[in-house]
Amino acid sequence: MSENPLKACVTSIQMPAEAKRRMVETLTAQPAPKKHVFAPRWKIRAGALLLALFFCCSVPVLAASIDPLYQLMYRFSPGTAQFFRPVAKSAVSNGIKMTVLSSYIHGDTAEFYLSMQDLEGNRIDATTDLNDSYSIYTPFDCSSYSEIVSYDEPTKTATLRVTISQANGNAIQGDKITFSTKEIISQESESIDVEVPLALSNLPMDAATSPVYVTGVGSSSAFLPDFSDSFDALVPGEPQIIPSVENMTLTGAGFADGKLHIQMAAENMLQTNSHAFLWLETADGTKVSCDYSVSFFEETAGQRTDYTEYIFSVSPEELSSCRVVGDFFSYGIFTEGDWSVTFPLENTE
Amino acid sequence: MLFQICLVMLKNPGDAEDAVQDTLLRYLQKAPNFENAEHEKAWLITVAANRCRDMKRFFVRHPQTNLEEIHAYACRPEDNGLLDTLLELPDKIRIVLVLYYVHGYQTAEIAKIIGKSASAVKMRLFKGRKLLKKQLEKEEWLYE
Repeated sequence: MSENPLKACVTSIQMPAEAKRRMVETLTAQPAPKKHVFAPRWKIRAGALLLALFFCCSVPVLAASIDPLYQLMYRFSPGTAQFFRPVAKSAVSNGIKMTVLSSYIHGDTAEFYLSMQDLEGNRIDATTDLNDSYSIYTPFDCSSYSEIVSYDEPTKTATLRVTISQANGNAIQGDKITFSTKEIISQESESIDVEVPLALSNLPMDAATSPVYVTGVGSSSAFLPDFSDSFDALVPGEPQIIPSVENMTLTGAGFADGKLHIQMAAENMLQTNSHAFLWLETADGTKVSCDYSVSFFEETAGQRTDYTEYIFSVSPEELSSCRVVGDFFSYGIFTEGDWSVTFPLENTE
Repeated sequence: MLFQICLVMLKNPGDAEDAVQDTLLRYLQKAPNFENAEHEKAWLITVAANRCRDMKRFFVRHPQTNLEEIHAYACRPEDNGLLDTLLELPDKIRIVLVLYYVHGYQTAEIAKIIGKSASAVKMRLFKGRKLLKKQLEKEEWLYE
C-alpha cells in the first residue's frame, strides 16, 4: 500500500504549546459542566484536568484576581487577548454611555472591546447590536464585524467586540484613532426552525426576473458568482405572511437560470435589521443550504423595502420531497445617538 | 486532531485556536452521554466543523489566509505544496477529504457528521480527488 501523503501532511500540523497553555487557562476557568459525559461529574473535572495535562505538562493557574475583561478577551479570542491595550474612555449620548475598554491595532485592522450602558432605561440588553453604524475615521473603505460577548443585567451593560479592517490592506496610520457609532438596536426576537408556507411542487420553471443593484451577498462558501453588482432577481410579488415571523414576508419563489430562487422582503429594515437564514429540508431531515444569498432594495414613493434572495442548486425533482425552513431575526428597539471616543494609537506592528 | 481540522477549514491559526477552544468549552459544558470513544470523537468533529462553518460566514467578508503562517504549524516542509493545494480547494470538499483520508471515516459517517447525504459526500470526494490529482504525480493512494 502506498503512503497516504494527505494524512501525513495534515497530521503533521501541531498546535503550538503557547496556544495550548492559553486554552487550558481559559478552559480551567470555566464553570463546572452541566451534564454528565459518559462518566460521573468528578470524572469530568478529572477529564478537564487531563485535558490540561494533555496540552502541556504544567497546568497554569489562572489568577483569581484577573480582570473580568481579560477573562472575556481570553475566552473569545485567546490568540490575540494579550495584545489588547487598555483605553477606558467614555462618551454619553441619548442617556447611553459607551466606553471603549481596550483596543488592538495591528496592520490594517483595529479591534476593540467596548461596553454600552443604559443610564436611563432598558434599551440595552443581551441582544444589543451596533447595527453596522460604527466606524473609525479613515479615508479607506473598511469591512467590519461586531458581536456581543457578555451582558450584565444589574448594570444594564453590554460588552461588545468590534473588528474593523481597511479593505485595501493599508496599515492604519496616525497617532490617534477615533471610534464612533450612531445606532443601537436591541430586544431581538427570533423565530427558529419556522416552516415557510411554500408549495414547492408548483413553482414556475422560468420565473420573471429583473436586474437589481446588489447591496450585499452572503455565502457559507468562499466561492461566489461574479455578477459585478448586478443580479437578475425575481420580480417581487404580493407579500405572503409567514406564521410567527415579524417584519419579514415571502415575496417570490421559482426557478431562474436553472436555480431555485426564494425571495424574502423586510420593511423598515434599517431600524429592525430583520434577516433570515433559509434552507431546504429533505424528507429524511437532511439540510440543503443555499449556494449564496443576494440583498437589494427598492424604493417606491419614499417607502423602502429590502429584499434578500436565496439561491439553491436543486432540481425540481429533488425539490418535490423538500420543505423550506428558516431562522428569522428582528430587533424591537432602535436607538440613535452620537457616541465617539478618541484615544492615542498604539500600533503593535 | 481538532486543531488540524479547524486550521484546514479556516486557514487561519488564530481562528483555528478560537474554534478549538469553543469546541472544548462546549464539550465541557454540554456534551451528551457518549456510547463510546468513537461517538465522542465524531461529536467533537461535528461541533468543530459547525463552529468553523459559522466562523466562515465572517470570512466571506474578511478573507484572510497566510499560507506561510500556516506552514509554520506543519512539521513536514516537504508537504507544503500538498497542504497549499488542499487549502485552495472549496471548503465543502476540504472537510470531506480530511475526514475520509486523514481520519478514515466512511462516506455514511461523514454524511452524518457534516449533515449532508452520502451521495453528496461521494460527489465531493470525487471532485476532491479530481482536483488533487491535477496537482499530484502519484495519486494511487487516493483510490485505496
